Amino acid sequence: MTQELAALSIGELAPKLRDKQISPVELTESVLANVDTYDHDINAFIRIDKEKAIKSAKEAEQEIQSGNYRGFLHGIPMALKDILYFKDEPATMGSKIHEGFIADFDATVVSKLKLSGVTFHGKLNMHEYAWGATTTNPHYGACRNPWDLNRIPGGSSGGSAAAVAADMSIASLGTDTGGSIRIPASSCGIIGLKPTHGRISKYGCFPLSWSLDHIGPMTKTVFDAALLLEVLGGYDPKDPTSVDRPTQNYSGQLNEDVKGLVIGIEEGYFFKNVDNRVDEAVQKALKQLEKLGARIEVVQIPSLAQAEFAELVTITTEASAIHHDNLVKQPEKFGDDVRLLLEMGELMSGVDYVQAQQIRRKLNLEFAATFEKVDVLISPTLPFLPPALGESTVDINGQTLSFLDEVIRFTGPGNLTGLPSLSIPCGVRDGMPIGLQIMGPAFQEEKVLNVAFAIEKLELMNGQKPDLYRHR
Amino acid sequence: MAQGIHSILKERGIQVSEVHQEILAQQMKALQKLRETVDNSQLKDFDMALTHMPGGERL
Repeated sequence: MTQELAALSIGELAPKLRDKQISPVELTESVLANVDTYDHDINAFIRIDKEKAIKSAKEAEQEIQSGNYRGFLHGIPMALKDILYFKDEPATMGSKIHEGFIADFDATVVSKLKLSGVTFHGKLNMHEYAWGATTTNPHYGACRNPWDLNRIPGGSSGGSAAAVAADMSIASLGTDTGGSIRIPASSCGIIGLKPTHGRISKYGCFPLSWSLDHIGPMTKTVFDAALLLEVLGGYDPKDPTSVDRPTQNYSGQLNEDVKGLVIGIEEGYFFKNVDNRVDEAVQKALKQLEKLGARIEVVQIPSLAQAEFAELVTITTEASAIHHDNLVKQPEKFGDDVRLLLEMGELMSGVDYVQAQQIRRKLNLEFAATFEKVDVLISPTLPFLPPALGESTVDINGQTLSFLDEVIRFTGPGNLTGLPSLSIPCGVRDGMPIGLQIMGPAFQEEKVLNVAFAIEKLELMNGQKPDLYRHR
Repeated sequence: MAQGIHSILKERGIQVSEVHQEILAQQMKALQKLRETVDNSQLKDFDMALTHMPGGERL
């Protein structure tokens, strides 16, 4: 029983913890046992805090025993991406430069999870400063995909996705500036939700690109993602981009009924140059939704043709502004790939940056007009299956293309517009999971979650998990 | 182009290797292709909508 606990979701574990059928200590030990067994190969963790986790689990146990159950997250073990601040604890951002940095306050999301009674057991690997999508970290070692250790887990939140997929964390959080929650979620076969920009406070998260950065849940189930959004969402005056819009009981309103739902498909952008295996899996999911009563409508969003320019200019410029001093004073401490991207950002012009922001507004208006006609947009999350470690190119139906150019092609528009976007696994091809992306109108995460819930109920994964799990 | 890149970055106090100069030159050519996707006639008087809240952090 103990060995199986770590494989369960928050939704499955919480009632057992509440009813004292299992203890937080037993659960934390189960998760730590998996870390001991698998992390040597996967390298999802930058730091493991066993003693602290057990101490915290014992406190949770005492509270629950004495009738002070705090809710669904009480006693749930989680490890978070090492870019979120915990008071008086190191936060490396996956970098050499911040190796000795100690945060002097909690990130807002960390405060909220602490209040909810989460038990923390470590900090997770990531692409250096979140500036990349492989999690091949030069300072803390490459993180590997639990489905195939020779492949990348995606990034930048690769450690978060790998830890959840290999049952080394019940759930986690990631950050997403061009797709860094959804890309690893797709690559590792889990749920990744990037909420609307401003929905979850970024206070206490080291920035990559202020206007594109988001924090969001990475989970085993849609219910867990909804639950975490409920806890983490809400206005925070400490974050100047936080928006004061009411949150909802996202987990309580989950509904798999898609009868009458209108699904928009932007074929010219989101279905162009897609690996046939990925396309086939997404089309299969769409057909199943149609059978359940959803209607597919083809839409056009012309400014998507300029999205790659806007994303590239915005992210490189803002990131290079953040890291400018270190690029001048200690460039040798950056990994080679990150240093190159930071040099590139220094070459963008002011006109480039302003035009990129003009394009973002145009895109936002076009997406808003589209969501007057359709409820959600569906696309693949990635146009390819996760490549092998060290590959700088990907093969899409016989064409060799740049990984960097292709990896954020479908996720970037969600950052440019700030619209809620979720990746959900929709099948396994050649042993690797495939992610389907759902985008929805601003601040209507409930629509995105409900469609995801309906897709989850289709059981397109047939219960498949990484071999690593099945062979233990 | 690589030499121009070297000069721009040097003026900003950034040391860039020859290998990176060559890669950056290729990337700037790729950026130029992306720039060509931008229809400036549609954008020139379009408000970029970048706002800063009067009153600062609202704390």
